[in-house]
Amino acid sequence: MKVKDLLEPNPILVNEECTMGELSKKFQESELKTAIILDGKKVKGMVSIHDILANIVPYHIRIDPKLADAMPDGYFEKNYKKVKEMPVSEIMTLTTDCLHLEDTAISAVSQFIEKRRRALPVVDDEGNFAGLITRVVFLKLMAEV
Amino acid sequence: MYWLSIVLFVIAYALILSEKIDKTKVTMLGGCLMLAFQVLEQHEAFYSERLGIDHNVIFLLIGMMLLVYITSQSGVFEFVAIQAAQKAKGNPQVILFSLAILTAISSALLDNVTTVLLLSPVILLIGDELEISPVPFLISCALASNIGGTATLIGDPPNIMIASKTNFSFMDFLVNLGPLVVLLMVIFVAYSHFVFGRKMKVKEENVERLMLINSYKLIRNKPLMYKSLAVLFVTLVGFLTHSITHIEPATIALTGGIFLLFISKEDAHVAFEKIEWHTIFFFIGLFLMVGGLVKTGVVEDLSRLVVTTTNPTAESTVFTGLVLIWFSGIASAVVDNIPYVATMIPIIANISDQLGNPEVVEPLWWSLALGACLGGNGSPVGASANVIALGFCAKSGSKVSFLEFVKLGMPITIITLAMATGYVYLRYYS
Repeated sequence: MKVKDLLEPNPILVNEECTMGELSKKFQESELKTAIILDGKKVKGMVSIHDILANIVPYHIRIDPKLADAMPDGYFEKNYKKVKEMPVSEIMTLTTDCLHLEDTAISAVSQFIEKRRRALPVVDDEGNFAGLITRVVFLKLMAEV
Repeated sequence: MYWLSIVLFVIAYALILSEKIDKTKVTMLGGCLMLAFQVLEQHEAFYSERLGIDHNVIFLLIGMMLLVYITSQSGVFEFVAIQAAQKAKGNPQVILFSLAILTAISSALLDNVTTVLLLSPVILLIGDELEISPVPFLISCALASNIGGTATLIGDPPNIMIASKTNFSFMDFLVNLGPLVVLLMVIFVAYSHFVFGRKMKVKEENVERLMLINSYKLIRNKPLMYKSLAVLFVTLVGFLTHSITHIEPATIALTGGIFLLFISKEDAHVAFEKIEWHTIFFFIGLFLMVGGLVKTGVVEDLSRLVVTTTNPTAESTVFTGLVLIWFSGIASAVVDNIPYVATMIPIIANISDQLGNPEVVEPLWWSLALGACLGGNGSPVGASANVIALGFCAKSGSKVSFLEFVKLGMPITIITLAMATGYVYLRYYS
């Protein structure tokens, strides 16, 4: 099995100006929880739901998590309001790690393990975006074996 | 060997100054080369009290690091800081004042780097809730930690090193430096209010949010908090009664740290991993390098030079003492004060031998401690606490440049050094 046979049918594609609020809505409407940020046909970066959540938790709580226990109810909502209007470009992971359409399934899995990612973009021979592949797709593949 | 030791030392010092290579790598390589070229024999490095690694300093640091790490796991530091902000009813000026005092006391009794590390996230939280910049609080916290740490034997590494060489007790530091530090803190609080406090304003709704924080939930482990505070208290009593019991500070700190580890449920592997081995090896490397300089006679020549230049006599060292405060202050603002003090200690010890009167040299030790600790406020690189506070400023989105820090830190450095000069003169020489 090749990567080109495992692509997600409807990847979420956004530009850099898309806000976190807008992206959150797209995530709600899709089964996918990772979006690709394109610059023309090239992959610029990736944003996952984890990136959004990580930004809702302020830096001081990320380094001293026990501070979160003392915060009153509504703290999550208050912080989400702060980051809602931020463009995804501020939190995206710049992507240089892409799979190729002709990569094998085992090669793709090894990349997922090595990069510790939940999803990876796929590019064609010209380096243009060709699709998205997630870890979940391998479950389907395993069921077929 | 004489010139080789100088070359190794100068290269290492230049590399530390350049900050291009990690300072522990530099001192450890320098120390190892001192051993490899047999400038210093391994036996001397490991066992000689005069030339070797100062195990008093090493084990005192390890003991205190263990104590502080385990205590920090209880959440008591965060609890006290939030309580201070809530007791101040969200008034930023009062919070600035109370956090400065809290930092100074904590730095004097524990250590300033840990204090700033533990308080900084809480300061960011307070700033976030009050919707005001955390920068004044973070900078004030770093400056106060350097002043507060000056007061005691365990407050700042230079004091630990001086104590180990001179056998000054915890009480000696407290009695000789404590009164001045109290005075300096009064001035610092006024300075801090003048520079930062006057401009800070908060909205009522933000104060209400701050008051909603449940600080009691920050205490994650109540039994551990009680155990930690009890052991810390006993350890401090141990330091205070050292002149009666003659138990060395390193023994007290190490026993306190290990005892707390024993009675707490902390994982020993994790606790030992949390010891700042990077710092410990930095000290080991430094001791090896300075040991080489002492053995080859470089330190003796340097101390002769100091004697010739500043002309101390067996009756009075007044000029040397006053020059030492300012020289140490400037040097510590420019370079890390730990290698500076490590170099100066054998020089002053040598002056003491040359003059043949240890009593007349005693003010020089206090001058060195004051200059080295207070000078750290002069620039971002003057003290580790400054580097940490500035790191938190940057992470909070308010980067403070080198020059901006100097503008804030240098005036208080000059004020405190001037006050230290007056204090040393009036107390020891008039």
